[in-house]
Amino acid sequence: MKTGPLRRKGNPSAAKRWMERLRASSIQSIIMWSFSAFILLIVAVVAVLLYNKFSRTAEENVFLSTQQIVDQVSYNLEDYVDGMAQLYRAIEDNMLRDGRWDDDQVTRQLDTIMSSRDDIVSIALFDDRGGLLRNHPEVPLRKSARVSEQSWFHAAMRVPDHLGFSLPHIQNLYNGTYIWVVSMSKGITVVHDGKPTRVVLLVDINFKKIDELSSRISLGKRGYVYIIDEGAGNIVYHPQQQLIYMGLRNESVEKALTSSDSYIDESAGVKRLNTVQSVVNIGWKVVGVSYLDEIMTTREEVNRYMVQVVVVVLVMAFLISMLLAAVLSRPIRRMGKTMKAVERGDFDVELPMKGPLEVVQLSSRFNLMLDKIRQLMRQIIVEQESKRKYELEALQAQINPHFLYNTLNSVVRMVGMSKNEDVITMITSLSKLFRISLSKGKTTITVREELEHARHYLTIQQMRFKKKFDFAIEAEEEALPCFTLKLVLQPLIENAIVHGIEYMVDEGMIRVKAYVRDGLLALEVADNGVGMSPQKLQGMLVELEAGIGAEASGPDGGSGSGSNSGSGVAVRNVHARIRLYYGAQYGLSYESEQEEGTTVRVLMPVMRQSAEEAEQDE
Amino acid sequence: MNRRLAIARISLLGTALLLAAVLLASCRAAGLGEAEKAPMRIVLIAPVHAGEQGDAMRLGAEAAVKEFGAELDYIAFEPHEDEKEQLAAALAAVEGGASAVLIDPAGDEVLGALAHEASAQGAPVVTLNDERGAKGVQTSITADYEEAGRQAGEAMAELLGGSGTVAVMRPDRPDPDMERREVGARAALAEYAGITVTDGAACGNSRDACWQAAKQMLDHLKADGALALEASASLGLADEVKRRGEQGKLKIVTFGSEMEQLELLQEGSLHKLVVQNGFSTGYLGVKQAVSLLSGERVDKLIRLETRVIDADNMFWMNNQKMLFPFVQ
Repeated sequence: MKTGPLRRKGNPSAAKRWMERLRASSIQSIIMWSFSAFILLIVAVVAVLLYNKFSRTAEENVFLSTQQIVDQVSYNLEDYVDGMAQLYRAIEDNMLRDGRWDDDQVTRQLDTIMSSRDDIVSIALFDDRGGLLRNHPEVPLRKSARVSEQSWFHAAMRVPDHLGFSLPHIQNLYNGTYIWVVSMSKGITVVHDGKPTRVVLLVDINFKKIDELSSRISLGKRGYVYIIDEGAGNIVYHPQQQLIYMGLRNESVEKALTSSDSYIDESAGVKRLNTVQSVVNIGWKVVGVSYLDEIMTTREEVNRYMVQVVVVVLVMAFLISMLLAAVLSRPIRRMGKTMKAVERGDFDVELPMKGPLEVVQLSSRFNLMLDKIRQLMRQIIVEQESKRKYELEALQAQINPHFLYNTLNSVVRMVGMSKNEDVITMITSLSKLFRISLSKGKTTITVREELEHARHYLTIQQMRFKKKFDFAIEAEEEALPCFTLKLVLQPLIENAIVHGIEYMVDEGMIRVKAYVRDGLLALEVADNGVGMSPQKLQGMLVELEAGIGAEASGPDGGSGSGSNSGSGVAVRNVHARIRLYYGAQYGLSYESEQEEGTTVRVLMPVMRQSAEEAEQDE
Repeated sequence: MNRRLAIARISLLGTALLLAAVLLASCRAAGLGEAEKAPMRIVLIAPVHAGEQGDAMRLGAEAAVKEFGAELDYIAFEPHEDEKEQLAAALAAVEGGASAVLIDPAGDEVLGALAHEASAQGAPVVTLNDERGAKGVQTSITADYEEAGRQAGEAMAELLGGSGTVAVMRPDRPDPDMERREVGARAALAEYAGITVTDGAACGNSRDACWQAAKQMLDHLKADGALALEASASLGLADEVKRRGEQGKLKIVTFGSEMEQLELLQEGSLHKLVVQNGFSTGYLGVKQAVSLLSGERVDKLIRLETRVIDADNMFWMNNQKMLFPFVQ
């Protein structure tokens, strides 16, 4: 008892566990189990409904059929009694009307009756003191036969003109025969020899007739019909009459005597349905006995059959659902297998376009996705190749032979002019320039280093161009630790010198700025040189955009294609590199006004890590 | 991988099919097992010189097998057949695979041999109308012979009005049951001072032989009443009384309910019959046998009622029921 609440508490968690297990299990098992459970439920419900309906109907049928059979038996008996009454009338009319019973005509008539009715044992006529007047067949009466003491004689004398039926008894009127008979007797008043005389007409019918009327009736397997007399409840007929006579069997007739309908009798230890019907005119009652446990037996048989059917249906349902689940989940498993192959790096697989609609749709999406991945991978390969090429180009630009030649020429000239101080500055700057350019092969460097690099470059160029321009480097503290692609500023500065400052009459001014605006890192190179016409500016921008396409399309698109000198190529290179590294929204922008100067701005995302670190993090 | 999956699937399917087959088979088998219960075959070996008593026993046994769902083999004997034939028939029945044997044995040897053979075969033996137990006899259904004898003695005393000579006709073979009847009768008659009991005659199962015996007895003996322990003796005695034309003078009390006895009773040649019911004997015999075969414990001995009837009361309803088997 104590486990009750515990179990109740335990149940939801078990159910939850089941739900979780179900959710975690495969589609195949979900389909299989739910389908089986569903069919089990339906079959069980149908079986229970059918079973209930069946047992109700079976019970009703037993009540009905018992009633009908008992009615039928009582109709048969009534019919028989009617026939006997007619026989009596015929005998009265033909033989007793004129009070003569011993002529030949009567004998012939009795012969006819006897030969037509095998159930009649004997016909006899007695006077009111029991003396034999006439009998048929004509055999002598037993000496010891005491007719006036017989119950049928009493009944006929007591109630004249009423056809009475005795209980079954041994016919003891004649010698040598001991037949069980039912005696019908009627007291009749006839005019004999001119005076009214009371006579008793006795017809003994073989009890076998009653037996035949009732014994073949069976109610179910063990049910039967018996007949009692309404007066005292004596058994008139019973299929086991001898056993009852011997006291080896009992029939509880008390309730049948008082009842006129069906009732349940449990006196014999089993439930029996007793149906009672009175037989009019004869004072008998027909009692039908049906065993109710037979209904239970039938029910159990049906039950067993149902269980068999349910089991078979279940097994079939299980098999079908297993098949169905396998068919449905096969494409999904196939998909999973294909995906695993992709996961392992085999991108050349393709899902077949077959199966249910959803699977076909999913397969097509998957194939499209795979296609896209393949395309992207090709693109990445191309981009990587471009990156390497641009980097190489940037380095080549750095070790530009012209630049080196010019610089070294300047150094020689300075040595010739004994400007030792300048020579030291220049050589130092050159050396630092190269060191930063190389910067251990890294792709990105800090803004600080980039600015440092720009400063050395500007220093060298300033000395080469004999201080034709001055320069200033300004940087926000915030921008300095940010990372940038290396060698971004140098081509821009070179461009500014070559196109902006070189043709100026006055001394030029180049400003290099680094700052962070709106989450973007901006590097700016501004000159106050000749500037550009809007047309030229437009041309530059177009060239810049086209350049990257040209560069990306092939490794050889580069150096000689521009109308301008190598520095134009280098600027395009910068733009392309930034966009490759950081995305298409970044890159160079120009602002220029003729005779006022040009400003080139490089925009890129704020990066707090070097390219190598970022790669490692990924 | 693929093949393993396929194998797993096939094996699962196979298991399910096998399960279904086994379930179906078990259902079918259970159903058959219930239907096929070999019926019990009960053999009723009638008494030799059975007469109507044997028919009544047969009717009772038939009613019982119908009720209990068994089969009955009834083995009857011709009037000339005797103990030897009964024994042979009984042994043959046991050999033939009878589930149980009911027997009204003609003698000790029959019962002994049959009981021995039957217990070897495991078939229970029920004796009818016989109290002689033997090893292997499980139960007996019989009237109380001594009580029946006492009833006969009382009836005789009543007929004689308490005084007279009573001759006893006994069987010509040792039969403990008959001896018990005599003991009972003598005990009852001994209470009447006016009644003397003398040994009359002895005869077997033949009516003619008994007639001869009765003739000799009546030639030598002046008796007021005669007590015939067996039906055949009563018939022979009645024949002799009729021959002498002295019906009613010699009061005859006897045992049995043969049709001839009943006729003689109504004629007035016989005066009282002590009857027992053969139907009940047969019915209860089968019932006991069925109980034994079902492994139930049964009483060692069932006593049946005996009743004294005469010409006056033989058609009373209760006596009718006892005397005349209901033909169904």
